[in-house]
Amino acid sequence: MKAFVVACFVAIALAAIWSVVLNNVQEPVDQAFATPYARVGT
Amino acid sequence: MAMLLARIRTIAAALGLVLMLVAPASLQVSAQVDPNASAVQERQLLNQLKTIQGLGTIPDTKSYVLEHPAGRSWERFHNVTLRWIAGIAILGFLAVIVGFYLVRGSVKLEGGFSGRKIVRFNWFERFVHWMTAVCFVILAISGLNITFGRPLLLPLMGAERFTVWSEWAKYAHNYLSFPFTIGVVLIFLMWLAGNIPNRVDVEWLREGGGIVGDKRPPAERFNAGQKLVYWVVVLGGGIVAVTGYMLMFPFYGTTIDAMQTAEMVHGVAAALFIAFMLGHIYIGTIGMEGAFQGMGEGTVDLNWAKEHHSLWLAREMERGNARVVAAE
Repeated sequence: MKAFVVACFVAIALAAIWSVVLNNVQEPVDQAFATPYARVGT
Repeated sequence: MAMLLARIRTIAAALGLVLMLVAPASLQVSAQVDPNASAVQERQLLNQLKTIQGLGTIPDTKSYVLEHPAGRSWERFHNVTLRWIAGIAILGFLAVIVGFYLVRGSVKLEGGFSGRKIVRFNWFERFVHWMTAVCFVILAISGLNITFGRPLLLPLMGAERFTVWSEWAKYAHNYLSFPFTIGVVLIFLMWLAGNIPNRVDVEWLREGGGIVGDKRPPAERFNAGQKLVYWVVVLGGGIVAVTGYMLMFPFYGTTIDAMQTAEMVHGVAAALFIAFMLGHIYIGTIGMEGAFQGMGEGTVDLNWAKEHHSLWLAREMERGNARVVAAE
């Protein structure tokens, strides 16, 4: 039971770390798929 | 002279009249030429070309693509073919499991529980298994929502609730991919030595694996069925992880065609993976008496080990590794 609970917490922690990495690496869609001089909605 | 001029005028007028009558007819002949005869029709372009693109001067070359006919084939696969494959695989396998349980029932422990237990999986092994399993379940549900959510859940939940649910499901799908991948890698390394197929597995399968028929064929730490689960997890998990990361990082070395292929492979591999794991979940819970304790508590009953993994038990006893825990 303890292994299961710890596994859940570690999975959440790793997911949180990955979310930080993704948010830093990936651009928002309106920037990733447009050139710097063609911004939509800004 | 005047008479001659008059006659010339008459003849000229007659000729002019004739020309006026003839000219429109000749114009109509030239109007019958088809101006589109040499142009390519749109349907022809869509059938022959995967991508229709022009030339541009801005650095973003993706913007040169005008139409992507191949995307229509992919859309049909995603909305029609994949749903059939996943539906048949998952529901079909579920039906087989239910039918098997109704006919065969749970595999009981013939000698009964002895009350003495032996350690089967240590804490780290159980931790890795459960981290991977929990991630797998959430990834499966959120992934199935991408394939089936719109036709099945949207009419039930309504647009707003479905949107919120799908948004959080997609975040969960993206973020939990990381611990799932780590779990698959650790499982591969941790249990590789015990999951190499050998002759014992051939005999085990030949004698029904202890689940078909009444025999209890000898097995090592992992029987042939468990080895099959191991390789499905490692290979299937590897495929969905690689294709998933290709999709999570669009245009990082991939084209639209490559990502469409990755999405198709990801969807089919995931659907088959889910169907197969239903069998693993069944046998590890209600399908076999005493099985769940191995991964739930880490220990199994001595009689259970003797009946289902006799070669493993003998080896553990011989090495002096067997840590027999007395009944509580």
